[in-house]
Amino acid sequence: MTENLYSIADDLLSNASRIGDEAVVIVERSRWSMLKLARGEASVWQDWDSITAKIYVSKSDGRVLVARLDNVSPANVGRLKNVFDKLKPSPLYTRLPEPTGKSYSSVDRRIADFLENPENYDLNDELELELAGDISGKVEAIVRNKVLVSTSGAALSGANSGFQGYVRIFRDGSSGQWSWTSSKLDFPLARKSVSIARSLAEECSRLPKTTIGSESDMPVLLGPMVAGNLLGEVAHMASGFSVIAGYSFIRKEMLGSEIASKDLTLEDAPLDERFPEYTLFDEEGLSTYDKPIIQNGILKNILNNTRTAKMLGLRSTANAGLEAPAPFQLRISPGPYSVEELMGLEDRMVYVTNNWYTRFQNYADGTFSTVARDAVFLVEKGDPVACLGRIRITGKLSSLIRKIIGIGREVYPLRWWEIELPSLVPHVLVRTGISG
Amino acid sequence: MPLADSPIVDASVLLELTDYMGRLGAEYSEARYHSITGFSAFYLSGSLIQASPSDSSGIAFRAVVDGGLGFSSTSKLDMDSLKSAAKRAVAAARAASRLVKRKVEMGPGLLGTARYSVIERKPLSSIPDVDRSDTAAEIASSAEPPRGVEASVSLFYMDQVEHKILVSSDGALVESVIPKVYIFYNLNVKYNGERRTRFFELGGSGGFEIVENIGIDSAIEDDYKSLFTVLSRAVPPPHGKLDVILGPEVVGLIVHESAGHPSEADRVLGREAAQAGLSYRMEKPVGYRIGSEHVTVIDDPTIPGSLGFYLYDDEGVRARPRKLIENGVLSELLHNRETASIYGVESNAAARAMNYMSEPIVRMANTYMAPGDYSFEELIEDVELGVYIKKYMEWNIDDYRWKQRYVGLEAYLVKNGRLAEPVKDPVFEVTSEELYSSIDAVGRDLRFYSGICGKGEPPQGVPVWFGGPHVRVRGVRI
Repeated sequence: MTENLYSIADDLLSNASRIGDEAVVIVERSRWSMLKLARGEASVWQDWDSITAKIYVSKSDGRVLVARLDNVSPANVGRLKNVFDKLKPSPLYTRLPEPTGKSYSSVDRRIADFLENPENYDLNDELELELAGDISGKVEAIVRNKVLVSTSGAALSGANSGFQGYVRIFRDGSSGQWSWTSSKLDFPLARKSVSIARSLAEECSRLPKTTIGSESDMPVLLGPMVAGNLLGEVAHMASGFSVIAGYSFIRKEMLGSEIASKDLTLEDAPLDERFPEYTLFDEEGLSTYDKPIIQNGILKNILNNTRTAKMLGLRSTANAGLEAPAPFQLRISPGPYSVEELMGLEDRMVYVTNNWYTRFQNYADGTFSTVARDAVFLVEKGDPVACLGRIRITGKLSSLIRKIIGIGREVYPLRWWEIELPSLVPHVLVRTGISG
Repeated sequence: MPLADSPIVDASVLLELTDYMGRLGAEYSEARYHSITGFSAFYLSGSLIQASPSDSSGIAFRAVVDGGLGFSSTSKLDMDSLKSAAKRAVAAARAASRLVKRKVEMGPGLLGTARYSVIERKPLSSIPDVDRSDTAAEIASSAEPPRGVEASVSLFYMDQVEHKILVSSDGALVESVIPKVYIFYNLNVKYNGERRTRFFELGGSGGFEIVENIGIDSAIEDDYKSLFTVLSRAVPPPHGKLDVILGPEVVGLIVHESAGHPSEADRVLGREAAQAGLSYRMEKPVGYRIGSEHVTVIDDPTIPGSLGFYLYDDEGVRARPRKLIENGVLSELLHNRETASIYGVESNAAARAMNYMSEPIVRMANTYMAPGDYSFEELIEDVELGVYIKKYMEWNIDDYRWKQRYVGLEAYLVKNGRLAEPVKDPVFEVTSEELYSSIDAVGRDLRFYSGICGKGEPPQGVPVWFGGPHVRVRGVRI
């Protein structure tokens, strides 16, 4: 497989290097399968086998082009030249770095087998679907092979696998949702997610229902699904591209200063082999490394490729993105508390286990709101006493991360619609606004 | 004569492949050649940061076997690869059938055998890629911020030509070519030490004439003024139950979120339960009164020049306008063939797929509130104390599409029938029924706005329009 991808990539690189001075070509093959569940049955089984190419071309006069091609035809390569010839210089141009990354292979053979022989796996049994009852969600397996070649001498290959999904379980008018992500075919992890989602739905359904008004500085226990979403937004706002384009409350001058509670450490962790976006090289061929974005409350890194680094006067953090730098995988460091202890830290709090639809009123200060869904508990003196409706969490991200009161000691590997990257997340207790 | 220059795969190949899936045991089979040739560019304060040509071409297959639905796709267009992908769709359907309680069936719909294309007054292909985006960026740069305001603009330009050939085993054969232009920008404005941002989208189907005529500069200039107004003069909004006048931009978003999405039949049936959620229409049937007689909401894919334009959907069913709410009463749902079979109705052609890697699912196209006959002055003339929300930034809605929130960006107090001082960030939280029931007057001005609507798993973003006139909402909480 890798040889075949190198052949395609080398051919494209040869063409691309005739267009500009420097070029990078990434060719990726994905074998990917997804079962979608809806209300206790399969709604569709989807299966992909795709080869895609990404081509970067630049010239020392500053012209930069990044193309995405699923159809690698001579006509397309000819079109790239026509586009390139008309370009104006980009202020973000800089020379490609010398490649330092290493090739790797981290494929779980059981995932590869699941993809080719799904009939050998009884998902009813493996996921305990009958026990789950009214369950919706997705189960996904993927094997990806990629090669990266460049005019600066990179010839790198990587192979990954992933097994991930999420489930939402309905019980008597209540619901619970949870997710998982792994680089292994980890059915016990998936079953644990099913079990957590079921417990949340059942606990919410047995408690009385109540409503709550709006409060501006309420203790809110963010479940890992919620903390993963909101701190994921912080991580994306730490991309050099977000900083340059103004999609962020983070600015370069904040580096080294305290922007969050001392309890918060948020890392980009491309070397964590437990997760599907593990990689030893970024899209410029640089060797990746784990790094704090925020460490004990201090902003330690803005995530850069060489181009955004140049514009910000910083160094690349090996987070290319040929188009834009981005985090790979996220880890939030655990704290000292059990969930029960967190619930007992304040007399009264709201415990939100899932959310969606996070939107910003003002990117420049991170003013946002997000809607709770599934189980939301009113907690008094350490115990859930009622189940709430779909409240909103409101505030400023820049303030929310300063108002962390406590962090849980158990972390969960999560990924779903609202947690874009594989993320290892604990419970996080904060003070922020809610509206009922 | 072919509609596009170089269709890589023709209908005869797709017919052969659907037959092949039938021989493998598919009760229903479908093959869709789906090619999107695109060009995008990103500009920061007028400077080109990077240009990105793209070509997404491949074939999507769907099969139904023993009531299970399978999907596969491939970008490899040699016959061996195509047959392999077709076989995988059948195998996927068979795997799904083992976990099915209610068998999938493809219901009736007016299946087409047709070819159509959107005319470009100035064909995109007649102008070099970069010249198209540079023109958009130059128009954007001509917009001047107010004096004393520090401003930066990031502008994303994208155009594409989408070429599809759809063949189904029960008779659909539709070929279409639809060119589109889509632009969004983000303004970051600083005044008196405070920063605000504004995100806005523009787009339509057609050629380069869209870039020239859509008003990029006037939109940016108007947004500069809005942000300056907020930063320089806005006061805290009043609280309590007030009359609210909503601008077309807000009304368009509201009908998309709280009338369009809840009317998607797959959502009502729970097919999106773990993703975009469910719908209040699970409990509120056709015929339920959700709003005042002034409220009619329509979704219409056939609006010429629209961003959500099509004449046949991605199951080959002929498109038509769909009335989702008629004079305040819930009316038809948006259907694909699968949901139509469950409801015992004909599909109304709402199946759309983002690209060849995507299954067709129930989507909106262009959703809007039908205009009434009030002028803006008439809408506000008897409002003693209220708020006019002209533009928004933040919004969200719960996963039943019931409780929603919109936060005004440019907004004004209304006092004794006249616009007064600007107010900062008024928050409008309301349920769908409370909102639609409280509308007592609808303006005669209808405007459309552009967006990319997300749904599905893997997530699919499809271009849409949403719009409406000004409306007056009586006595709702701010």
